[in-house]
Amino acid sequence: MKKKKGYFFRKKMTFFAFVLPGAIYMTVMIILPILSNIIMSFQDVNLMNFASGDTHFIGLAMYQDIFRDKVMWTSIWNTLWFTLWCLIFQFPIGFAMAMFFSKDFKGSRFLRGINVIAWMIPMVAVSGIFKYMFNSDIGIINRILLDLHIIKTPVEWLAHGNTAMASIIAANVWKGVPFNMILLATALTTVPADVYESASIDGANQIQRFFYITVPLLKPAIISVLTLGFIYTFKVFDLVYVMTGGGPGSSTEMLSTLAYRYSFNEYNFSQGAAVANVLFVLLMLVGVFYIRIVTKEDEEI
Amino acid sequence: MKKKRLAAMLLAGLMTLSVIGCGSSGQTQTPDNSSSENSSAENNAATQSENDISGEQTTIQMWYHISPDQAAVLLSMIDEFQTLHPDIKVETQSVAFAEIKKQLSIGVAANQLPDVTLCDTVDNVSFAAMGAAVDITEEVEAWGEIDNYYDAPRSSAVYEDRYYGVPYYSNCLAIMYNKDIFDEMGLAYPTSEWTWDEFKDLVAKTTTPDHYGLTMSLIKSEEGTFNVLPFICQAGANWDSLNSDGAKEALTMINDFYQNGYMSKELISMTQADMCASLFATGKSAMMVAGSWLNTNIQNENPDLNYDVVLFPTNKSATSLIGGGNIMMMKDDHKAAAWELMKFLSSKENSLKYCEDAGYISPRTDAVAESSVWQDDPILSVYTKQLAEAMPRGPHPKWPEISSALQFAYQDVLSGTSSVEDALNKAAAEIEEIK
Repeated sequence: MKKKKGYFFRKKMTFFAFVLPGAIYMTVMIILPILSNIIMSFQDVNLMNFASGDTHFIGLAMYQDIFRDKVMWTSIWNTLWFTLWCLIFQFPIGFAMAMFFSKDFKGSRFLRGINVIAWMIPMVAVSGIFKYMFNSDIGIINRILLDLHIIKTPVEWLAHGNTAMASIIAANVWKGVPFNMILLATALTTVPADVYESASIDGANQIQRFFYITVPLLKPAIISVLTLGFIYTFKVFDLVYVMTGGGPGSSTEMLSTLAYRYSFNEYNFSQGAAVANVLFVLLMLVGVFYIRIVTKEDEEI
Repeated sequence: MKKKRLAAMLLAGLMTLSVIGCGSSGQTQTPDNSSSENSSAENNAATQSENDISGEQTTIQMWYHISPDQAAVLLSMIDEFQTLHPDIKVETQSVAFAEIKKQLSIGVAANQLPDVTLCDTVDNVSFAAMGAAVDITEEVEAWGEIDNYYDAPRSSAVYEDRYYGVPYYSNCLAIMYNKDIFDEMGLAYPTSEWTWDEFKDLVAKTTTPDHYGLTMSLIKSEEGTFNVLPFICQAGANWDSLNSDGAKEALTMINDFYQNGYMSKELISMTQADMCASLFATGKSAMMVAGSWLNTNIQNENPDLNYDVVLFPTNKSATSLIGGGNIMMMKDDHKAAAWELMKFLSSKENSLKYCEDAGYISPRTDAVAESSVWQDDPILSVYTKQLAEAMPRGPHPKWPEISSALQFAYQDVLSGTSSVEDALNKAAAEIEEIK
């Protein structure tokens, strides 16, 4: 009896020993900051009362405040618009490249490896380089377009709302494609070759094989790539911060840059926290959606 | 106390949440100042009557946000100060220029502040309104030297008729012009009595396919405000009257320059250092709205550039805005020692020495009067004249929000999202709410 109790006790302790470090890390590094951010968004913390600690709970007033400001809606719209177009471009291009590089030709692995470099370069560096590339006076993009006679006069990419948005989408797609490619290419290697063989014996053509074999078999990977890509793109910060600073005006203002501006340029900490929480909730919805689909897939399998 | 800790944690949490991946956090560690906390009471007594506890040192901390080259002279002065005052030990901590306000705000919440710090002139009253900067009115009045300061820098340290700082270095904007371009085009150089009409005329005339007429920062940050607001002030308006005709006249002029291609469209996202390097220093712009510190940048980029500087053109006035830094006292634990240091650094001799070396102008008129550099140097002497006609930005404790409203106004106008009239009316309404 006694021995058995000791065994269970030990087993329990082992369980805690494994869980505890993770739990502590999660609590201190993730849960506490998120909680305090949520608390702060229900207060009126700004630079003036921040020192004295003379802050008050004001309920939802801060949220009413931010949603009354047009710039908040612009930011939500911009963030969605940006994410949508990034996914529309980077997913098919990444998929096509994954299909291409999974063909076993000479140097395919090496070339695939090279492509990943784009993904490894820090975002700040990418943003800085693209900012110069899109420069209207000295940028290479205008130079190429002018030399090819596609445009007659230089385009001021970052000086107008629509072209600035297009520029940051282009930069983000460039960086996002390898991420899509590498995940999908890895998934492609798990599709057994004999499935394709039997399909071609049955007379399926290339297109049929793609839609009836590749896509269904890659479905879990496709869902992961799309949702991760969505989350990754939705919380874009450094790219926008460096390339346009959210401007001109608020034409490329994202939720993340708006939260930063409220908190650290205007020192309205609660206002920034409220915007960050809106971003958090929106991403949470996507996360829940993702987890539900993944568990459903698992059950089906 | 506990509440402050909590607030610091909240802020830290917020920072991690919203700045993930932003690699520029730099020197963010708040220095450990346990040594000064331990014995603050005795130390305070020690400075007031040095003989009581002989041999014991008061340790005070100072933060500064100036670049390492500029800090060399400051640090040597602090060494000299410590030799003169063996009972005071000064610990210094360098903070990145763009970070100092954030670091001080975090320091306020965490109760980890330096005794003395440098800060940007516009932020002095913010810290005063926060209750973070120490009221040093009595000390300043007893010192009796504040009347020697230029009005604009001096008023940047005043909040509700009390002093919360002492100006440390000043600068202001004026117009730099490329002499070669004017020579090539057979145009006479602008003179200090020029008007807005002449200015507009020259900006248009000096624009050719090879170079722009004018360069000024129109970026969505304080730098843009710093460049745009002088014109609004020259037209007789200011930040609190953005819906007036003067403000509209000024923004219309800037917008015309921009839309007519007299200025590069890239200026909408360029800092002053960027625009100086890529446009003015390389001869791609005939004129530039520029501060004296950009001299150093030009020397580094293109020492052969043949340029000069002239006062702003006159509309209702030819005013400029000041920039620069103030010294604030952030803790009164060692008030006597901290004030001693502030006085030492602000003395006429030291102000002169530091500002000359760092390429700024001394906020002290008596120091400027004695300096051959600010009186005779062809470029700096113009800035000295411009400083006498300059005014501070604000001062207002919520300046960042006011500035932000103005930034949206000119960016919306320049990018074609909004008309001058609408943008300024909107900004004026927002500022009215902030006030």
